[in-house]
Amino acid sequence: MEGEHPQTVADAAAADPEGFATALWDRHASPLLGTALRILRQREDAEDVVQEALIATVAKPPAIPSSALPAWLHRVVVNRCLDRLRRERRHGAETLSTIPPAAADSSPSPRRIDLQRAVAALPERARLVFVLHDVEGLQHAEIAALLGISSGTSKSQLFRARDLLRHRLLGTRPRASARVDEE
Amino acid sequence: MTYEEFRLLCVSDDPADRERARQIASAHPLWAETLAADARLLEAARLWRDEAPPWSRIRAKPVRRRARWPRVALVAASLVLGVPALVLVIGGADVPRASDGELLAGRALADVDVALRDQRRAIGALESAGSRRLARLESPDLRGDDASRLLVARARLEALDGTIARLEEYLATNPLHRSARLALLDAYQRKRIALDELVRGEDRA
Repeated sequence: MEGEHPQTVADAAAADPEGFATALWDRHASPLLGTALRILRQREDAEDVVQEALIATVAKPPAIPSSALPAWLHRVVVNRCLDRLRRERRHGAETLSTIPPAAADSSPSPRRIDLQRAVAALPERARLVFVLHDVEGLQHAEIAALLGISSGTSKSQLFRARDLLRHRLLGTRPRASARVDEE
Repeated sequence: MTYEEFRLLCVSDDPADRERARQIASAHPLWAETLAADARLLEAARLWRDEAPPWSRIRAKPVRRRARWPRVALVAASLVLGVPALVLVIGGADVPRASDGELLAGRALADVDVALRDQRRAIGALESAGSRRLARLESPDLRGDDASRLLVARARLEALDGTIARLEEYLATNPLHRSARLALLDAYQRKRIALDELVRGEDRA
């Protein structure tokens, strides 16, 4: 029956390679750059990652439904960003926690700058877990697999990150009372 | 329940855990404050997620800006590759134009890649023979007219090598740029011809 099998990305690319490449950059480059910037914080590195991911997609379009392409590209870019961070660590590149936050692109609200600065100042693992979970929308199981940690560690890093951010941004005390009795 | 246990419920992916955290916090003002702060953080995170910084590198369709490769590469291309290449690179009005920032994709990319590989292979085969011919410049017995011919050939090859290096460097970060790829292909072809002429000319001499 017609319409039973949705068109795949590979089909669309084969039918119109130029149009496929055009649409790929036009629709996805900008949001993917946002994701890469939040993880890597360096514009040049983020652009490299997105460029490489899109070129790889043009060279070998995935056989997935077209509707799944945004999520697929998001995952590819997240993976490539984390690979790059791992490589940088192996090669003794600049300590991640010392890298200044990426420059803002257009007059941002003070709140946005505050959040970005506060997130940039977090310990590296807590920063990554916060960005991947609370900003990029990944689940703890996915983050655990990507970072090579347990789900429990991912959760504890996330509440650590939120507590530090709450303290820095909202001025609340870092930790409330130690115990309550459940009814 | 400890604070850590409460926070693990707050950050859980399971909605039932988060609901339980809400119930516990409802009876404990300080923890309720923590949950409210989490909600504000998540709202700020959502706004951050929606940001899409403008893409400033080459795009998948023609853009109005000029190509961003170094001006020196344009000058070198015009000197070495001649008028057709200059027209190709900076975009002449009366010839088919490879638009700035336009990408090669799919079959077009594959075709140019095959042509570039072929040219590289042909150049590789000629280069050692060319180097041997140029080595004669060191010979004290070299006649004046032969020396002039070899010096011209060497200068031509050095200029082409410089252009090729700049184009390859540019393409390393912008691999799908149509004009740059075609200019590189043209430079390869000219280098192959220059080497071929050097080798044949020397053999005749």
